[in-house]
Amino acid sequence: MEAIQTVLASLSRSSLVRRLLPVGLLAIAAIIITPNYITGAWAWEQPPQTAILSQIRALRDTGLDLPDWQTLEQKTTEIGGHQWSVQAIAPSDGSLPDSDRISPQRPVYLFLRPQADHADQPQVEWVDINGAYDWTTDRLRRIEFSGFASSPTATSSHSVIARYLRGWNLDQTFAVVQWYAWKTGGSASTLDWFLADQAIQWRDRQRQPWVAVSLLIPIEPLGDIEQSRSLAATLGQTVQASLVEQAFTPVATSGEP
Amino acid sequence: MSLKVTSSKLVHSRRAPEMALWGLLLVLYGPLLLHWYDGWLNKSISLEHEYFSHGVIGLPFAAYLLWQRRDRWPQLPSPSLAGSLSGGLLLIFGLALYLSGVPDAINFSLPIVLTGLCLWFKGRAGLTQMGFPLLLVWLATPTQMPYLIAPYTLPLQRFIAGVAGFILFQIGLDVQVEQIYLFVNDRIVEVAPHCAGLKMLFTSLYVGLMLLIWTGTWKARTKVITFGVGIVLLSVSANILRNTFLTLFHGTGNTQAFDWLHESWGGDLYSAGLLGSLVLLLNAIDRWFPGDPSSSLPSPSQEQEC
Repeated sequence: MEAIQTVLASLSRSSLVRRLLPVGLLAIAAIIITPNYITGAWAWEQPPQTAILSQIRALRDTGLDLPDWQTLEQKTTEIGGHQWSVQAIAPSDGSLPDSDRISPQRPVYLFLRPQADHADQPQVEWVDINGAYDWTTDRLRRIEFSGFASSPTATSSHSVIARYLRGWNLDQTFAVVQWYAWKTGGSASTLDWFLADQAIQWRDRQRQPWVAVSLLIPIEPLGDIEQSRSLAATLGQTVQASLVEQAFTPVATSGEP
Repeated sequence: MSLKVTSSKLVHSRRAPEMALWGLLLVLYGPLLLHWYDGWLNKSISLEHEYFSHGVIGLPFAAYLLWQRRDRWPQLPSPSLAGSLSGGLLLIFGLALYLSGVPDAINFSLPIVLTGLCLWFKGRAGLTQMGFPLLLVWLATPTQMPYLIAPYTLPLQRFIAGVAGFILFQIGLDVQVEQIYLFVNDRIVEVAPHCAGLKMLFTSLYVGLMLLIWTGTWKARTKVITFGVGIVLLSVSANILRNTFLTLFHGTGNTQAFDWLHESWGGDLYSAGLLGSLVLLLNAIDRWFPGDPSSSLPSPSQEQEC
């Protein structure tokens, strides 16, 4: 140990080493990147992209298919300057035990905003929704559920931490579940998405595709949202899993064996 | 034979490694700086990176400070082992970030490599000597910072929307404020994070820092704090006025005036006016604290006291 220190100390004192070592290091890096001067392939000219952008953008026009739920109506609407898909959904045939309050007359609304372009990042989607509906919101808390992704080869699970709150106006009261969904997780916080995005940038040189989800479950006027918690979690899980399967998993090209 | 002689002469000449160092830095970071400048001047860079467009003037100013300090540099003592080692590690780390190919990491590599070089050659003393130029480079390096702090600016957005709504109400407009939205005649104006004047606030603080360095006022702590608080107040009030006018124009259907202030040279005029008023503010502060000479060097006792 002492020997190493002595060697290091004498190396760093030697003025030739002191002056030439940084030059050497910079020269190595410069040699590695020199081809970029000819090809023009600078990393900043081709920022990482979302591989499945058109696939998730299609959600705006089609909405999302949910198992055991039927879509009564689907349309595209503009909220806060962005295109959202709004879907009215109800249980297919009373198959959900917990959902007797939900009916085609009182449907659940599913709002989806897939990212608009490669550079689009989650911003203030929750404020946008509240602003568009002229709501009073209260009882803000968290709700956690797992998202399952089953592919032919493997089943993986991850957890989603969403916002859970009450939104109401003179006409209606909703239990609201909101989160940003991506392939390997989901969270209401833009910071969590940012970290997931950084991870995939470093690993695969790609961006993390995302969809903002807002679920509006009708409840009694000014009712207690805790009574709808299990339905909210079940439905949230269904939406997350469907998004992973239908939007975030690349559709296999037909030419593949 | 003669080639060998010249090359060994070059290595032993005092200037050669230095020139090679600057040349290599230019090879590595020249194209990156071109990309930054192109993005800042033509607004072709991402929204987050545009926040750092004050680098357009900040980076040349940093280079000027570096040039000014060049004579004192060789006289600094040699660094301690810890100093040069940490510098060397930073240098290697910075270059590794460059080669990673992740755009955000490549941006970070410039200030890290420069800091590493200062530490490697002159240790702590070098860092102190080059503190201001390095700080200006660090603060002009485009990062994702604006994105990360955007969620926390919501209270500021609400405040700006509230005050702008109050002013418009006073001049007799039928205005309603909901969170960060202003409703006038069924038209909506949203005070978005980047509309909350965050970019202008950063630019004002950065230009304020440059003014403090330029005039030497940074040595008087009372003035620095007063100036900093003044910049924040000035920038927030200017932004309230800007949003008030935007809402007024939009709400009354004056699209031409709205576009002029929002996108066209009206916005540039607003920025120039705000930055110009910083100079006036610093002058006023200099007059308020006359016992504290700013442009001349203060005595050590004065520095202690503040």
